[in-house]
Amino acid sequence: MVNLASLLILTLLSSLLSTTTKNIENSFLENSPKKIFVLFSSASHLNISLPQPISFSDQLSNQQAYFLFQKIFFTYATFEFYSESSLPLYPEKDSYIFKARWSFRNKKNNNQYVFHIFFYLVNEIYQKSRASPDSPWKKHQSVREIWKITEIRAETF
Amino acid sequence: MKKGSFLFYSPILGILLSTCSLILYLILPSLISSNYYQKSLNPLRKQAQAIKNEFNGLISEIKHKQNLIASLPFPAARSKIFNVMKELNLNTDIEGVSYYSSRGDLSLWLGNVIDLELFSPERNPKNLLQRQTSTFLIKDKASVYLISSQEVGEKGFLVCFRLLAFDPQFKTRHLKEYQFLKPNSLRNLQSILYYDFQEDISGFETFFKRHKDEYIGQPVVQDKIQTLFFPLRNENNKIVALVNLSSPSLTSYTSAQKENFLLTFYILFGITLLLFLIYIIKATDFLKEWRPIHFVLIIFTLIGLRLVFLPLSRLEKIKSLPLFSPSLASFLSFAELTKSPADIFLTCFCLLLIILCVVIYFKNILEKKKISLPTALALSLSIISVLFSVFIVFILQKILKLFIFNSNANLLHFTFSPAFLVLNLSIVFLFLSFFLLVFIGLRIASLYSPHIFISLSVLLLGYGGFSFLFREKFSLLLYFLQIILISLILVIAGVPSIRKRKEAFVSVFLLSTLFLYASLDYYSLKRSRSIIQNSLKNIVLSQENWGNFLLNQSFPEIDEERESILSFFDNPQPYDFSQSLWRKTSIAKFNWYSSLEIWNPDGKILSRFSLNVPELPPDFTLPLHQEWSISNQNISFLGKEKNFLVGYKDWFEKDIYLGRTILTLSADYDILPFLYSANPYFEAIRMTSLPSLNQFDFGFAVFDLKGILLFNPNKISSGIPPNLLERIISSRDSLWSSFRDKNKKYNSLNFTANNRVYSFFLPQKNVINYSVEFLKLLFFYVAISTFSFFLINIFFKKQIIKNPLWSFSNKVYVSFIAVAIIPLLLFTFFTRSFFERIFSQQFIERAEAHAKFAYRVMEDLVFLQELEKYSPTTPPEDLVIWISSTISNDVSLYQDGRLISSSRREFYDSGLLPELLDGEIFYKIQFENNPFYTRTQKIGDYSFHTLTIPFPYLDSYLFISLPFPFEQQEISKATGDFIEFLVFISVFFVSIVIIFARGLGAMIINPIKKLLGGTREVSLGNLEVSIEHKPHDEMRTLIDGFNAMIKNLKKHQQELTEMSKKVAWAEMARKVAHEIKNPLTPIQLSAEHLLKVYSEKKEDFDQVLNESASYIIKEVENLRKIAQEFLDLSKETALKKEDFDLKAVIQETVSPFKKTLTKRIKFREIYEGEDFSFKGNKEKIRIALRNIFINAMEAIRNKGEIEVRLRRENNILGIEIKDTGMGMEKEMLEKVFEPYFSTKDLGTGLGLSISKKIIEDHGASIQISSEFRKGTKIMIKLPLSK
Repeated sequence: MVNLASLLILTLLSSLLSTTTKNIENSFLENSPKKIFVLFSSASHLNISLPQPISFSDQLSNQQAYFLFQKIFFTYATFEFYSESSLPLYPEKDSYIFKARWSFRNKKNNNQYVFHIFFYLVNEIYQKSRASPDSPWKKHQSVREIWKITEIRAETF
Repeated sequence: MKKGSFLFYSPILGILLSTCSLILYLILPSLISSNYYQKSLNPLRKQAQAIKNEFNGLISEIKHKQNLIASLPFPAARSKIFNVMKELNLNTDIEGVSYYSSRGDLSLWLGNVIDLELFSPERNPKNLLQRQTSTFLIKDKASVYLISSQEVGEKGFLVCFRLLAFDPQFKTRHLKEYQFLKPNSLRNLQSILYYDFQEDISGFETFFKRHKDEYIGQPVVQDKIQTLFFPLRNENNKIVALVNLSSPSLTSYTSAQKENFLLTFYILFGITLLLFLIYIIKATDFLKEWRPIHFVLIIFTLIGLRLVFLPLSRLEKIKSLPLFSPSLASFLSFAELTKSPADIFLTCFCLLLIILCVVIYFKNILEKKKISLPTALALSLSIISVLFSVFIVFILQKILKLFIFNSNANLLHFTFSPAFLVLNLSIVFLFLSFFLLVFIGLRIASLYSPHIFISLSVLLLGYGGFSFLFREKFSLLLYFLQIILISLILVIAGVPSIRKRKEAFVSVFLLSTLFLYASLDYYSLKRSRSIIQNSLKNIVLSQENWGNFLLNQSFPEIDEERESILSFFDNPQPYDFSQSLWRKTSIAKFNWYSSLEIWNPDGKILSRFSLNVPELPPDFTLPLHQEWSISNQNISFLGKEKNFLVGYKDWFEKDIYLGRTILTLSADYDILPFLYSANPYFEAIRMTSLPSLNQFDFGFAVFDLKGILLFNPNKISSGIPPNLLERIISSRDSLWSSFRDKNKKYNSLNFTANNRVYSFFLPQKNVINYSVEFLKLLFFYVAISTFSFFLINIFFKKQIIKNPLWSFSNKVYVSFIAVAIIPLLLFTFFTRSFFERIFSQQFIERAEAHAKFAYRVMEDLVFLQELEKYSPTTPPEDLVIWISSTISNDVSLYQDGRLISSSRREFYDSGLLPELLDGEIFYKIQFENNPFYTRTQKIGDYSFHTLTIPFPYLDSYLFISLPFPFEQQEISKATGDFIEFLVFISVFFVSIVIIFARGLGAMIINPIKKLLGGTREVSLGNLEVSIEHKPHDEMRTLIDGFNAMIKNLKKHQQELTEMSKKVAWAEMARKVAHEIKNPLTPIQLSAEHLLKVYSEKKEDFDQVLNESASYIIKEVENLRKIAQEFLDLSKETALKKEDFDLKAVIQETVSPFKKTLTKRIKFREIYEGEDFSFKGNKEKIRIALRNIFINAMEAIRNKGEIEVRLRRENNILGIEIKDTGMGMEKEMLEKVFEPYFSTKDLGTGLGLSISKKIIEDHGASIQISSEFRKGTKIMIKLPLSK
């Protein structure tokens, strides 16, 4: 019985993870900072490291990250975004690294770029006990979205 | 504001210009799209020519240097040759020069050079240099050089180097590609391919000969892009590089041009709105006269001004500015008005202005009509207002929290960055906006509250209620400060007498600063704790996951090279095969500290590449695995245990074991992105960094599970107590604890990961830290307030600036403070540089100690070699790595200036560092026998120091070189506490000086103030003044002199009055005689005529009698009028005085004229102040004013305006009457108050002289100024009796 319950939980986690990666994909394809904002962890600052032409590396709050992506999506338009990592059948309980290929162009000069982009996703329900009681965003945590982005890295081809 | 003024027309001009920009923005694409493809070739050709010129310029420069050397007699001595090199004034980052002796040995060098031996036939540079008759190129790893040589002296060679390009393998913020071109020439550059002197370029020679050095590529039709290829040639016309330029696409070009016009539009429109705002404010008396239309216009203009700047951050030129970067600070708000520091600033500023306007407008309304309400309603209004104010305070607190949690700048860490200034100013504006709202709320409450204590009770209850409702947890200090601040505002709002006191202002200012400081400190600390607990901890925990992920990504990438790996096992050549393999992995793309080793079946290394990872120990064993396998290993390297993820695979072909590939990834603290490693080699290639974490002060240490320190970058001397260690290990989660180290208290977060205990610690502030931070903030706010005060004064053109700043008392205070501060600043500055020198020296000494350790080890090696009778060989690289590990510092070893071994060989192999020792170090040690030498070096733009010591070995020197961090960052950390202490002492000292200056000022300034008061009284005609000063000092002499002078003045005035009276009476008699004489003549003539007619008994006697009598009566009436006016003029000065309202008298006097002359003359009445009661003769004043008004009205020929302004200033009531009439010339103006002077045909000329007399009888003064054809202004100053 215990194994069955664990299996069910893992299947549920896997399905939620799939939804999250789908949402990431949609947010990039639609150039929607709002869609990716809900996926940002509200309990922790996000580490974002993006190479040229974006050239950014620092840690940000989810609200700062929202405006950063708003700026990115305003300048660059996605024309290709697809997952390059196969989703595990039973993901690790607390984290998962989602890799995708992101092709985009500068809207102003049509210059084109391709990134391998990596999203570090954490299961916030699993990690809830680790969240600080001081966290100002704790109240706004969405129950539906349990897989949250805590880190984004990218590298050029 | 006049219609013709600049401010009136500028908004119109602004609208016109901004509309033009907008029109251009809209029609631009169609204007520039036609023929763009053809047109874009010309700029490319121009740019190509510019690049050729730049390259030719480099060749000329290098040749010029050679000619310079050739023109000099070349010295033989090494020291003189080196001086010749120094005299060339090279930029050693990109230029260099080396000297090869007649045997072809590299003897001396300076700057950025390479060893030509590696590129020469038979390894003899002389062969190469003799063959190259012109400049040539050499590609060396990451760099490309332009080289030119010159034979000097006795068949020696001097070779000049110029770096053309640097393309490092690792891309980080410190390592960027370099090209010799100026930024402007890089604009359309696609690529430059350089050709080494050894490469065959005959194909290109033929090709470009055919195309005349210009080839236009096939057009990319879709984007209409032109592509141009052209060669760069040396002075012998040989191709050395091929350049490819591409024109920007039409979309890109159009969008750049459109953006320029859009930016112009936003700026012009913004300026227009700003000018319009200034116009409205200046055109109206904003404190009194705002009409609803003005108010609405101002509010909408302010909103418009804010909105106009909103899209600015989307423009390419603007958004790249740091102030528009959301990463500095941004948070969600209405209409995204706070999406960058600049946006936050503009929003807070406009919010303050809007609230200020609302407050002023409603204050004016409320002052005009005080609404009386029934008691119950008044009480309810009062309660609601208090609750509103408390609510506002909680909202402010919420916004401050949001602000700080979403800002990467530490707002208490003072820097000169614009972001710091803008964000702090935003907080001030935000606070002021909310403060105004709270003040207005509490003012309304106090107006309608029966008693202040009722409001105070409601306030406390409301505060408790909102605390519960918001469920906010503040520190006790913050609770206390909030309550005290609101209560103080309530008292100030409710009690006018307190409101007017300076002390009230100072208290509010200090308390507000304290409140803001406490809030900033409290939320900054909470943010730091949150970052440590939720972010930094997660980073540590995620490292292993990232490592595993990258390994799993890299395995298939290596598998793709299966064929070449298998053939390498057959023939293990070249040695750097593993490097080329490593470069193809995901690990390499992240610059992850890792190594790739290829072993043969016996476990011997066939090939190895490593990035900051030591070699696996010989006894390291792993079971055979045909598929990739990962294991987490703690491996001991020279006594230090390090954590690695090891992925390996054993290769087989037809069941024959060929060997193993091992990927080793550092999973230790070295790779953590927040860690400042202090190792230049680590820091320069760090790809992921979190620079904003430098803004706050936190420490980091790693212990093993026994509590032994493994990594201690912050040099703490405390361990973890056993009971705490036990709790940390047994806990699944992290634990906060506190400890004391070197007299400082810390809060630390401890947790376990990978069999390590990680500890992050935040220093607790002590009283001095708090005081220094508070004082810094206070000084900052004082500076802002002073600056704003000056700005407002300039804006409203008031003279307030002049008085307080340049008054004698302030000069004295400023002098005292200057005398105190200047030496203190000098002391602080020199002490700082002194301590910096000391700390710098300490770094050098530490590096020297490390170098000496290396020296001893080398000595032992030589001794052992001698003992064991080994034939001497160069020291092995293992030894250098061992030394490096022991002293925790990288070490490189050079022989004859060339690298022989290094603890970070990969940095040399990839061309990040030159394999030649710095030429200056080599010279100073080899030829000037320096015992050691330190020098600044660079990897990309990352600066660090190296210390080099010589070690005599065989017949030459070995150079042991140690890199250590550029001390600036370390020194600023080390001196930080000391500087804080100095600031605190300075501020304390300045405070003492201010108190002392006030005391001393009282001694000097008070008597001067008394003298000033006396002088003012005298100037107003009061000669009864006498000043007292008890102390017998120099001031007493001055004051006695003043009193004596007044006494004499009074005596002289009495004498003068007597004399004046006599003269006046004589003048009066003369004028009376003259005036009476005029009507007497016609009277006499009429009477004589009447007598004559009567004596001649003429028939028309009745008619003559009638006419003459009428004439005589008329003239007698005229005489009576003259007599009455004289009587008025000569009446005694003793007046019947009574208290009356001068404002009412002016209104009554003006009223009849206003009604009858509406169409022709516009009357403007302005009253500044509240109390206009005056003690005097009301009727006389009325007459005086009426005469002045009549004069003003008569001066206006057609239409015009009369402005009367009544103002109360201290003890004076000022009346200013200004007309837009004909005005007077200077000569006329001098006589205007003389009796019987008139410019009018029917005037008696007594009106203004009567007015003057009345005014003077009241002890007042009257002054007149006039401009011909422009108008006249009369100023009356009525002193108020004390």
